Amino acid sequence: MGTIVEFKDYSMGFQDDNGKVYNLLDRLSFKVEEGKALGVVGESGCGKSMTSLSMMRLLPDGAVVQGGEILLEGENILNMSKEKMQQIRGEKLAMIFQEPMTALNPVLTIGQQIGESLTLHHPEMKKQEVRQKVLEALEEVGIANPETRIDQYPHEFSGGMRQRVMIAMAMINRPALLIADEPTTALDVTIQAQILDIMKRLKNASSGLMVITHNLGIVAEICEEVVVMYAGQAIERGTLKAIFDNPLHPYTKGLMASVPTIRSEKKPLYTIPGTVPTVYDFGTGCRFADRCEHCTEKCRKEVPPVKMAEKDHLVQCWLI
Amino acid sequence: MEPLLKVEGLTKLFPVKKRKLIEEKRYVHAVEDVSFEVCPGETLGIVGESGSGKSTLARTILALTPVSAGKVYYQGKDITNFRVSGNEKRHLRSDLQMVFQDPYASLNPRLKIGDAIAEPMLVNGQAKNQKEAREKVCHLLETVGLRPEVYERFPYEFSGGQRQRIGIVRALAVNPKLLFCDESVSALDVSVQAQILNLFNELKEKFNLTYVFIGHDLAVIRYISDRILVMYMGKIMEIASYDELFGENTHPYTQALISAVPEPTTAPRSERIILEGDIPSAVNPPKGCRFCQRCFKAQPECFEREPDMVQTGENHWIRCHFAKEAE
Amino acid sequence: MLRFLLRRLGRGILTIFVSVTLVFFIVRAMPSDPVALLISPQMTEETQQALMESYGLDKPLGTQYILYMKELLHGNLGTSFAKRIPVTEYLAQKLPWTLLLLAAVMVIVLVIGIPVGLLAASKKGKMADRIISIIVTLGISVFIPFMAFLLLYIFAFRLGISPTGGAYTPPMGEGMEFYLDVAKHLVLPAVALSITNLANVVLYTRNSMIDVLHEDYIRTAYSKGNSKGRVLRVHALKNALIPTVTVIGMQIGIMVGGATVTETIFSWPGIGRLIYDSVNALDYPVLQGAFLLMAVAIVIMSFITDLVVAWLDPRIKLGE
Repeated sequence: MGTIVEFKDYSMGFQDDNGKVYNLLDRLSFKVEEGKALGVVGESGCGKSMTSLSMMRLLPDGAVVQGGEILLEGENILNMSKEKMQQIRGEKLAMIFQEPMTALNPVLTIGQQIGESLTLHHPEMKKQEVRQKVLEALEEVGIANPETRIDQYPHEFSGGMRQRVMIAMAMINRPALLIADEPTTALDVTIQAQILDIMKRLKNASSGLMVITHNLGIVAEICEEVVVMYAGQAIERGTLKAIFDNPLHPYTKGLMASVPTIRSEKKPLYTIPGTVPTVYDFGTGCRFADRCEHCTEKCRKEVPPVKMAEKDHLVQCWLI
Repeated sequence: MEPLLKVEGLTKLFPVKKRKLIEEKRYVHAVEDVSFEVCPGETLGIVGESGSGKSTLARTILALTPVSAGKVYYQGKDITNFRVSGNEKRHLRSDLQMVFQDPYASLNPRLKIGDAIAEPMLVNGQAKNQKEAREKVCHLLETVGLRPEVYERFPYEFSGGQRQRIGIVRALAVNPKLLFCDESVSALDVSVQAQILNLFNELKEKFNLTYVFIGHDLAVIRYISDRILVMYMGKIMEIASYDELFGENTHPYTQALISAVPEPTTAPRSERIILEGDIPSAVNPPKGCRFCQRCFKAQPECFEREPDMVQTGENHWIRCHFAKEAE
Repeated sequence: MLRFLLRRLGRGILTIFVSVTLVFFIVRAMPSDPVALLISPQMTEETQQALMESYGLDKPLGTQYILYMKELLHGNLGTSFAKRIPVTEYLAQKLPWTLLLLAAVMVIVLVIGIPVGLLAASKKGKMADRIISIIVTLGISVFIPFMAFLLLYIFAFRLGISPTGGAYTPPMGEGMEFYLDVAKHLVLPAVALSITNLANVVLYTRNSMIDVLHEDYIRTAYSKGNSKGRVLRVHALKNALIPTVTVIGMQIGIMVGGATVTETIFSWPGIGRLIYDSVNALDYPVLQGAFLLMAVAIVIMSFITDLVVAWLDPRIKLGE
């Protein structure tokens, strides 16, 4: 089984007006294997979205790559030309975003927008063929009456339906990797269940899947591999089973314990003290040190090494 | 025990703008015929998806928008639309407080945090002078886990969790009895959400508070609440205590909601109930049961006749034709 | 659609009615008396009286107003005091010149304004954008009469490559030669009149384009593999033009009423110049006619603007 995407010691940060660079993603390393779904979990500000935008090379103004490699099927996309990158986006790397209400262009029909994904990469395709494929794609994501829906505009669709359109648009070229950035966060629970169902069903239509979310439940639902991110560092990663059944990093443990589940007992929730630091006040050592119960002098001063706790389970913590 | 708050047949209709000259007047049935009680010291959770009317319900109770029909009683007294004497209205305004999803939006950006909190205390007489108000505010800030120095700072200097703590202090400053929390932890990060939920529970003990906790996240609402009210398209589908939400004798919508919540566990899960379609518009509610179009158990009867609330246990009511009545 | 047309028609008639009424009384509130200009002392009492009667100036204000409105319903705008010809005929002579000037201005504004605005937006914060912004600020703040005289001074007096005024060199010629002559006369007034309008359009296009480029659907477009040029053309342009169209529509409406200052400085024989002359001559009927024309033009333009916006933006449904 091959590796679709690999982050190798990838670092990026933000430059302020005076040229000072604040590091966000710190030597990020992980892989998405063929046929597997990877969940990237973390709270706001941990750099999950920057991870996906880094892969698409669509970082916002002010962001700077500080080092490392991002390999797509063995090739470093950071070295690719602009034109090559345009070919890859939408063809090999496809993405769905958090806000289905704003992610579609209000003045173009659904058919034009999905069709564009095809024609951009297959300019030779005939109009009729494009329409046929778009209709099939709409059907695949469970949109009723595709013949009518194809010529409608986004405002005629509900949030859940728009997210289905986004999925159809992303999947139409059968990409090597589908990146889903908080795909259901803006949706109601019963609609979220529908979208997760579609994603599970279409999982094999792309070679790899990367789900970015703050919701541990969603990860457990569709992913086989997990990366837990905190303040720009991949503090723990491994198989779903390893991470969920045997979390080792104090942050992962805390995160798991602090989420009320549908069958939680009525006792005080475990809490991690403090708040997620911003990019301006990351310490020099472990970025979780300030909130950690087991923090030592060493934790504050030095970044812990990545250790292999068991097969398929890596942790970045001095305690392990 | 006498209920602290009692709502009877509360209805809120929003007129829909007419499109044609000759057209029957139509309404969004935001809240329809809602009745429930809140006992002193309990936490009542109200859960529902968008369009369920859960926020409108709170706003209507608090007279932020006029009631279309029905009554609201507080400590046995009719307070519908807050149509009471001026003095009583002042009491009501301090007794019933609301904590919003984003307290930042309700804080004046140019006012120091402390002054913003102290102001209603002075107006409502919870503090006699500036000095007393300041002492009380500082004390409250410490109670919710903020340093008293925060008094001098401005809203933009705070993170989401801190702002929510400030929002809570602001509500507590006027010695409320009943706190309405509308999506009060929804915008927070997971690790911060747990802190605030614990804080709500601690404060409840400390200040003898009663909560109405409104939200879309069933896991959170169930965790914080003693009883839960499940709403769908403006109507109550089920009222149940937190441990009665599971199992066969619950409303199909509740079953679907619980089944829809992805659980953070590697344990094998039961087959998920996936509801089809979108939440319908509340302008043309169906003739029969509100939930009939999406219900996986719907029978012809459900499309014809709307079910009444059926009592299935001491504290358990279900609006379904197939609910098993209590013996 | 029919409902929309009827409603717009009703609103348009109301607007025109209010404007006609206001103009009628404002014109008569001017602090001098047209009778003094019309009547020479040599005339006999009877002639004077007859003249007053023929213009209806002997009647009370209320009666004059009712008479005027009655005639207006029959399409009769009255007779010019100064020229003694029907106002409709008089306006018909002047309108083509104003429309010609307007057309020239619009060509300049659209052909230069929109592309420059788009360029500034796509280079936001860079050198090109900064230079454009400075010029735009100057363009908006410049005092038009000063600019007009400056142009006249440089091109007509100093360089002598441009005529000093009028619309053609009398006598009125024919054929190609005449058209070229008119074109030559048109350049300076068109340029002078374009400056502010052009600056406004550049500013509006730039700002609305910058807003659009921050929208989520632009990121979606890039993620599908669109090139920057295609994103601007296919995904951003139509959205960015929606607010700009409204501004342009209003400007055209106002300009049909004539650019009084510019036309006067360049002796351009249009409606604007007519208004100036009629104010001096206290020619009530002509003034009323000219302002009526302006009101009608604004009503029509706002109607056309709505149609164009509805065509650009599928979210807007006419008649709802």
